[in-house]
Amino acid sequence: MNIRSMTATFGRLENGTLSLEEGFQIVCAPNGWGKTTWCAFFRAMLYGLDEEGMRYLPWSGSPMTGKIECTWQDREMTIERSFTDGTFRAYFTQTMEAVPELTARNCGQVLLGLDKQGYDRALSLDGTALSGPEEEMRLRKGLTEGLDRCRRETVLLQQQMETWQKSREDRLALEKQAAQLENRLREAESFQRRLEGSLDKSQREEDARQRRRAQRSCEKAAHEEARLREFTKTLPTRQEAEQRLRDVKSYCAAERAVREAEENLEPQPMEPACPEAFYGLEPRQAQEKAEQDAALCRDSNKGALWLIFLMAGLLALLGGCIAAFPMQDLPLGLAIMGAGSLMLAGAVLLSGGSKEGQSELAAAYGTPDWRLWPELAQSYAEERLRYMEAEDQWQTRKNAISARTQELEEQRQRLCEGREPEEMEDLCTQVLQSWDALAAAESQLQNAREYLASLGPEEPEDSLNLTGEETRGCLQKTEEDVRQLQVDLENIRATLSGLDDLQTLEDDLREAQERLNTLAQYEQAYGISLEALAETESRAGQLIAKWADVYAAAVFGEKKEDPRNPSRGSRDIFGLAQSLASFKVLSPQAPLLLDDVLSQVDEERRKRAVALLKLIGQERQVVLFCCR
Amino acid sequence: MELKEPKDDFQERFFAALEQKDAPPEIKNLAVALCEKILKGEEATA
Repeated sequence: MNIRSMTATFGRLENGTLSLEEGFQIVCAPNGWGKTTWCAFFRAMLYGLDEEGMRYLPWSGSPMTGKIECTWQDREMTIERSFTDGTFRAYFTQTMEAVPELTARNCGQVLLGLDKQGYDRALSLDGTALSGPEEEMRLRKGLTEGLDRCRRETVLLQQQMETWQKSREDRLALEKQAAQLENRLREAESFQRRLEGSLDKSQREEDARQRRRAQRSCEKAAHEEARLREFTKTLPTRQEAEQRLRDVKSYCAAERAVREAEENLEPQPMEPACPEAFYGLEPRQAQEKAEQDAALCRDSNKGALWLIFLMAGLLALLGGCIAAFPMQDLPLGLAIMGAGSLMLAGAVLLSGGSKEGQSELAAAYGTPDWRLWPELAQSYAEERLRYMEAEDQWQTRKNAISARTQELEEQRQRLCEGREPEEMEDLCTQVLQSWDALAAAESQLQNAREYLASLGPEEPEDSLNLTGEETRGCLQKTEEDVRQLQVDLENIRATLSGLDDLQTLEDDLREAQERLNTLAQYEQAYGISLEALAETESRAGQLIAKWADVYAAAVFGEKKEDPRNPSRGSRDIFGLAQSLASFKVLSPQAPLLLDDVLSQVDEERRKRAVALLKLIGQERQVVLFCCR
Repeated sequence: MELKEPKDDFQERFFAALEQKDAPPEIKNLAVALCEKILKGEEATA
């Protein structure tokens, strides 16, 4: 908090204004100027007027009023107070909006964090203010409020639990009462029937017939139920029969599916026709063989070795004739002609062998054109590969169907135990029908017994021993009793329907008890925390004392002072240090208005004290009033 | 002028005092959790 200005009609001040700055400042004025009055005015504005403040009634007789303009939590604020009529107003200066957390009573506590007693003690320089520093206060506030909340909720919860408990007891009592009334009503109705029966013999006889019929029905139903129970002992349980029936149906469906798949299986792929040349060869080998055969034919046609032999033979014959006749050299001519004849014979042999080989290959490939043989091999290889792929797929499907058929056969052996599936289905259905019949017989027996019980016990004919007149009177009274009991019962049932059901009440009670246990733990935790806080607070003064030592040392410097026998100036310094320490610990944001605290202090220490106040003025507003 | 600030850790003293309290461990743990929340300015309710 920083004071920007104070305006007062207070004591000797008549609408006087004092403007202040942030940080440390000295207001130097002569005695009688109003320094003490401004300090008292500041205290009265924050904490209200007490006996001490009554000394400052305006000398002029004007109404005692004042205004402080300040900065608080980074917002400009104005506080106005009239001590004459007790009005108080705090508002944000720019918006004129009221400050909701400030009231005439709590203004000083909220702004400075100190109550009036704490402020006076801090200023009175004895350092014994009771409130704690900020975090202690926050902790105390949080713990106190938490403990209060726990206790309030505990009380409310206990009250609610008492209400629920009472509702539960009421409900139990009413239910008990309703049961008693129902018993009495049954007895009264039975008695009423007896009375009516005694009045009407034929009715009684009819009742007896009904009872006998009911008895017979009951016996018959019991006999049937016992027979069926005995019979079903030899059967599988209902669950087993249901499971077996489901399994058999599942098997039948699967078997139909396999059969359908088998019927839908396409025919096995036909193996493509294999040219004679490729018998026993793989597609790749067939292609290689066709390439080789075609190459061989091409080479034999190109080479024409037999033609060379033929030409050479003819030339040799011609040369031999020339040598034998024109040249007259017969032996040489015969020799050359012999060689030519041999060449001609070779040509004939070569020509014949090549043609014969090509003819065989042409027959094997189905065409003499050897250029087509690689294409034939290529075509054959592709067709063969397609066939092999189709055959693989077909075989895979066939194997899957076979495996599934085998699996289903095993399943059938296990489920049908050598019977046909339809036969096993019928058996399971019969077992289930037997169990249904037993359940129906049990239900019929139960109904027969209830009906027999509703007819009441057989009455002896002479059990009442009443005259006709007495019986009629008794019947009239019983009828009234029955009506009254019915009305009472209806009322109780109506009341019961308006109450929560028992389960809900017990659930609510259990939850409430759990919550109570939790609250008790929290209450205990808050309690020990507050105790620990009280023990910690008792040491808060230690911190003030430590700060006071720091401040005093700062003023005294090297020159030590005996605190047990101080001079007047030293006492003022000790007091100032104590006061500064109290505000440091207890109210870090409060502005300090110091009224002539250094008047008795010597020059050197006064300089050091002013230096100290300047240092403190860096953290908060410090106003030092003095005469010189 | 320089001032040497005296050491004082309120929270340390407070939690030490809390630890010395005679209470079951679960209650002490709960109390520590509550106080830590309050000191952080958080809501601490049952």
